[in-house]
Order: sequence, then structure tokens, then C-alpha cells
Amino acid sequence: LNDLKQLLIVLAEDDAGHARLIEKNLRRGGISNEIRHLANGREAVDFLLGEGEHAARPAAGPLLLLLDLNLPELDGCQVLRRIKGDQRTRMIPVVMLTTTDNPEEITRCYQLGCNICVTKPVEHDDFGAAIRTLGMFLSIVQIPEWD
Amino acid sequence: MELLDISRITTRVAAVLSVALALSFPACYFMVSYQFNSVSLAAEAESCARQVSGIISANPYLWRFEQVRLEEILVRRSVSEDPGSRRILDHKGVTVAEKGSDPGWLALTRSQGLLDAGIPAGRIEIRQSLGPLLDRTMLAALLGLVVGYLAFRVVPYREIVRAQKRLQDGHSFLNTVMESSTNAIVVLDLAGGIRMANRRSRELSGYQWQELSGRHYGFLLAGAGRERMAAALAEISGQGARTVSFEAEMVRRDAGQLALSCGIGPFHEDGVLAGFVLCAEDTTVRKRWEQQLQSAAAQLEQSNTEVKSFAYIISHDLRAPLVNIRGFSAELNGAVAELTGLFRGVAEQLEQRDRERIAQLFEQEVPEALDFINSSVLRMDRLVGSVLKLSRLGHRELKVERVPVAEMVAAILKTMSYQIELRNAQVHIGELPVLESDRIALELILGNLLDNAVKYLHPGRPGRLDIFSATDAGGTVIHVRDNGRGIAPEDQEKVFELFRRAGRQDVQGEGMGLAYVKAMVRKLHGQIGCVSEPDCGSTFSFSIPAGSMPTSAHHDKGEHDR
Repeated sequence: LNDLKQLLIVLAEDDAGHARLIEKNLRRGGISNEIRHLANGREAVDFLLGEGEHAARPAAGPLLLLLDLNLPELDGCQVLRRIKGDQRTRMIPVVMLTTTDNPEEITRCYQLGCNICVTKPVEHDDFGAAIRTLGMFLSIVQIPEWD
Repeated sequence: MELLDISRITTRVAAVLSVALALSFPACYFMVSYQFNSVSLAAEAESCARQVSGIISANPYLWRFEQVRLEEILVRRSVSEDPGSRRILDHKGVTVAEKGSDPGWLALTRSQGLLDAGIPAGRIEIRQSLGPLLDRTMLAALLGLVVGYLAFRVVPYREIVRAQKRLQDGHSFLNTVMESSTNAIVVLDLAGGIRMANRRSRELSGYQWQELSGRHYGFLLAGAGRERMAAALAEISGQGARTVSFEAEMVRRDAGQLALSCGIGPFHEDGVLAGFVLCAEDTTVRKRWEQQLQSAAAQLEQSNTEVKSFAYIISHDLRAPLVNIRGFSAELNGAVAELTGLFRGVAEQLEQRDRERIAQLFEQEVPEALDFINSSVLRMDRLVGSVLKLSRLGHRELKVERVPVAEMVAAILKTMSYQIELRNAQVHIGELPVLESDRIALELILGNLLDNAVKYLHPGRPGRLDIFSATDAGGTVIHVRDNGRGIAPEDQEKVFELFRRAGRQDVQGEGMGLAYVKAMVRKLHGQIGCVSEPDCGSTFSFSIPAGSMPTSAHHDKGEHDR
């Protein structure tokens, strides 16, 4: 678990409110890792692949991607496809955040290689529970070394 | 065919008859005339002989010198005026008297012995030329020929007239067919020259018959069509094709173009290919309609896609802010709870009036506001979810399979056995069909109808449900009847609408069930309705038309594909 303290959580979420709620709930769930918030899909890809304005980014340690499905410029599925299609990033665990529980969408995310799908529940208690699940997931998941 | 046979037979009969007439005329004439001549010659000879015998018996030794009297006897007019000779010979064969000229070898000869008291004293000989008779016979032959020819013409005349009339009838029938046809019909000769063009083809092309007659068809067709036509003609004359179909563009007299759908085939004369018959239909309007239909279908497809994406937008984009409202009101709730605690700690230091006001705000007004926000958000979320579900149902791909409805109803009722027992309800299942339909859709329809029937049973009396069906050629109608609280007449249409609920709102529900049911029945190409009497019960009936399910349902992608 000590290793996990080093884990950088990248949150790709265009809705500032959602981002804030997720962050608050993660903190409340005892997650103290650094959270990097990116507001659109292209920026998330640039950051993860070290391209564009993030070209000069120093190699980060292990990271986890929380990816909203509906992002501007590149949507969640496109981002996922890029991440999973690149040798350097395909081992990064990805948690998809969806607004609806549409089974087809969820199936598509799993087909593209996401590790888990979490529906953003409107019910606040459910939301807390979902985030706590995420916390548990974080403590279990094997984070591959970042080279 | 029949016509030809009849005329052939009558022609033969007439020919035989004519020849017989032509031959029998002269033959009969000759025979009759010959007989008559020979008999009259014989009679004449006999009468002469008698007179000469009188002279002989009056003067047995010197009779041969009675030249004048004898010649007088011989000159007496004979029956015939034909040339001939008469002479009297004595018993030694010496000519005693002679009149007339020698008729030559072709003559009819009659002789009669002369007697003198019973002893032959010579003979009288009458010869008559057969020439005139033969001449008349020739005339008779000519007459026979004329009569024979006339017979040949007259005998089959009626048949020929009839055949001709039938031919004319056939022709006029064909003409009527051609002229009244709504398709253009053009007859071409082997070289492609126009031999016939019906009214419709003249209308379509805008040309008069005089302008078309004999011309090569080429000027009527646009480039590609002309080539296809030439290929079709080659196929018929070269490979013996019966009919060839193709599409072509016609160039009208006014240079306008028409789309034609053509069929062309051969016709024969005396068993030999003689030309082609072209039938063409003006498909311009149909083509235009087809295009309009296609564009309408495309528009429908587009608006369908728009509806799908609209449902997605509603469900997704409306839900995103709800997450925030709900999340942050929870945050507010937490903050207020914390503030309340803090306030309790410092409450003593505040004035009485402020303390009461703050306590009221923290403990009543703020929690009340947050409660309203929460319950509204949850309700909104449920509604959005319902719309999304409806949209998903509407676009689900149907899978046709054999569905035994009785088994399905039994399975649904089993899951509801607790509620049914609670309501003290009796369920009667009548005859139910086996349908070729979509299982999930039927399950949803029947499930909702049965659920409603149980849910809205009359609380004051034992419930009774009847599920039964009626099948005819048009399809199947399934009825679900209850003795529940019923629906007021003005509400009976409304119950199928989205979010609409009728009657007292004492039963949990979203008002979506019957909207789903209606959407599903419509998707199965059926109809649904209800007959109800308040306080007596309702019967919901839906129809599943026979053979309405396509074997391959059209594909609808999920609503995420926007």
C-alpha cells in the first residue's frame, strides 16, 4: 500500500462539478494521492502519451486513469482506444465513469479494454459507495511500473 | 391456324369441282350431240331409202336414170345444216346420184340399204362432218372452263369472306389492343425501321405517324438506350432470345427526355423472323416517385436517428447536472450538519432572537429545502431513466421465435403469485396461441398488463383475472380482463400516454408501463385498446397480426451511436 501513495490519479472529466464531487469523495474515502484533473479528451491523451503541450512532462510514476465517457474533442472511447493502442500506456488501469447505465455503452468500454466501469449515481449515498468501491479497487489493483 | 385449314380445304374442294365442271361440259355436249346426230342421220337415211325404194319399185330397170327425182330426195333439207354428202349407190357400188360435198375423213356416216321387192338394189349413204360438232364442243369446253372458274371462285367465297372477316376481326382486335394500350408498342422490321407505332408511342414521342413511318428507331432513343436496344435486337436475331428487357431514355420531339422500361421480342412471318415488337412503359413518374420515396425514407431515417440521439441527450445530458445537484446538495447537507454542531457550541453567546432564527434556519428551513431538492432530483432521474428505457425498447432489434403464450403467461403469473394471493384473486387462463413473434416484447406487454390487472384490483372484493385469445386469418387478439377498479371513459386513452396515470394515485408507479406496452405492440405491428367500466373492471386487448414479423428485422443500432 505504500507504493500506492506514489500513484498519480489522472481524472479526465469535463464537468467541473462532477470532478469536484469525485475528488471530495475520494478524499473522504481516504485516498490522499495526487489527483491531476484534465478537462478534455485530447488533453488527457496528450498528458498520458507525453505529446503536445505535455511533451516536456517529466516521466511520471505509476498512474491510474479515471475517464469520463463524454468528453469534448475526443470522447472517452476514443481516449481509451488511444491509450490501449499504445505500448507505453496500455498497462495503465482505466476506470470508466459513465453517466448512464446503458448496457451497450458499458459493453463497448469493456470491449475496448477498460478495467472497470462505474456509473455516476444521482443518489448521493450510491455515489459514495461507488467511490468507496473505487478506493477498494485502488488498494487491490496491481499498478504496473511506469517506465 | 384453324382459319388457314378451312380455307385450304374449301379451296381444294372448289378446285376439284371446277375441274369436273370444266371437263363434263364439253364431254356431255359431245356425247349428247353425237347421239342426236347419229340417230337423226339414221332416221333421215331410212326416210330417204324408203322414198328411193318407191322410185325403184316403180321403175326397177330405169330408176337410176331418174336423176332429178333422186337428187330431189337427196336435197330435201336434213335436220342438220352441217356440211355433208348424200349419195345413192346401186348394188354394184356405182354412184347413181350425189349431193353435197365430201366432208372428209372426220365424219359421221350412216347408210341404209335399198330394196327392190325384197332384193337389195343398192344403198343410200349419208355422211355428215363432225367438224362443226367439235367446234361447238370446244365452245362447250370454253363454257365449262368459265363455269368451272366461276364455281372455283363462288364455292369458297363464303368461307373466304368469313375467314377474311375473322382476319379483319383479329386485326381490329389487335389494333384496339395496340391503340388502347397504356404502353407504347412499336413494330420494327428487321432493319429497325418503324412499321407500326401505337397511339401511346405517338403520344410519348410527340411524333405523328407520318414522321415515324419507316424511319430507323435510333432517333427516338438517347445514346446509352440506343446501344442497349441494338444489343437487344442482336440478342434476339442472333441468339434467338424470346424477350429482352432493358431501360432506355427516349428523346421526345420537343427534345425532352423520358425514362422507359422496355421489353422487346421477335415476330415471324411464314416461320421466318420478320421483325420485332417493342413494348415500352413510361417510368419517368415512377422514377420520380421512387426518388421521392427514397428521400422521404432517408428523411425518416434521419429523424429517427435524431429522435434516438434526442433520447440519448435527454438521458445523458440531463442526468449530468442532476449528479451535481444531488452531489452538492449532499455536500451542503454535510456542511449544514457541521455548521449546526458549531452553532451549538457558540449558541450561548448569541442573543435570544438571533439564536432562535439561526436554529430555525439550520434545523428546519435548510433541511426542508434540501429535501425538496433531493426528492425532485430523484424523481427527475427516474423520469429520465424511463424515457431512456422507452427509447431503448423502441429501438431494440426484434428476434422472431416461436412463443407459446400460455407458458409465458403461466411463468409471469408465477412471479406474481404473492401479490395474487394477497389480493385473493382467481386467475383463469383460456385458450392461448403459439405466436411467431419477439419473446421479450411479448413478455413486456403481458407482464405489464398482468401487473396492472393485479395492482388495480378492487380492494373490496375478491379479484378475478381472465386471459384469453381469439385468432382469425388476420392474426391474434389477446385479452386480459380484470374485475378491478376500472378506468373512467375520459381516461381510457390517457393511460397509454407517457407519465400519465389515471384514477386515485394510491398505487406506486411511474406511469410508464402502458406507454412501454403501447410502444412494444406498435413495434410488433399490432394495436392495443382497452374497454373499461369504472368499478366493474377493464379488458385490455392487443392484436398481433399474422405474418407481420419480418424474418430479418431491420437493424437499429443502440442509441449511443449518435
